[in-house]
Amino acid sequence: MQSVRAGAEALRDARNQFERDGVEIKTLRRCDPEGRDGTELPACFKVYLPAPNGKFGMVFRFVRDADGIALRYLALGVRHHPRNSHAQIVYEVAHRRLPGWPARQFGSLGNLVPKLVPDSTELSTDLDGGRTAGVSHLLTQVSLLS
Amino acid sequence: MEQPPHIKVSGALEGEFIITEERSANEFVITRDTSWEAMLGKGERAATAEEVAALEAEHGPFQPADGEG
Repeated sequence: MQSVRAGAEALRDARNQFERDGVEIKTLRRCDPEGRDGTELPACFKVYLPAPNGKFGMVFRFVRDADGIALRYLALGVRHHPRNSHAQIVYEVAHRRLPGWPARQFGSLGNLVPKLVPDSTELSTDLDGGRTAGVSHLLTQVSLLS
Repeated sequence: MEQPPHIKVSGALEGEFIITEERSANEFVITRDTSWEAMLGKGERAATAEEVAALEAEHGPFQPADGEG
């Protein structure tokens, strides 16, 4: 339970930070296309939460829509198995969400969907469908789906 | 791997679901579809490697993979 609470808190903090400051491209780390644990995360990127090296990870993929390139959240979770736990780590969750795998529900944290739009001075933040403008640089559009 | 049947639900529940169990002809267990495809918004597609490379060229390099996953 403590881990779930800590995860939810990390998620909220990350969401707030993405809304406020966005995600700079240089903070994104490439995922291993073929991880040592057997996961395959081609074209995926990640950040650690809390930054710079927290116990949680958030995995993204870039998407393209009419507004340009954005980042879409794929999974959030612990980076390593807690001791005596068989809980899925973030890389396993992300791996199973990619094509070729049946979908899995991701706990009770909901789906955070940040979008990163580079090099714009008029970016928006989308939370639960609402839109507000005015974030200054590389930033994130976030919506929390139920 | 065989993909589970996919359905769209509207009413008390809304959204994309998959059937995870068929208990009888009239009884099913469904779970929300949280696959990558279901996450994509309308008019959205995965960015190509070239598009991501262009982004990196313009804004600086991503951090390299660290072997963790």
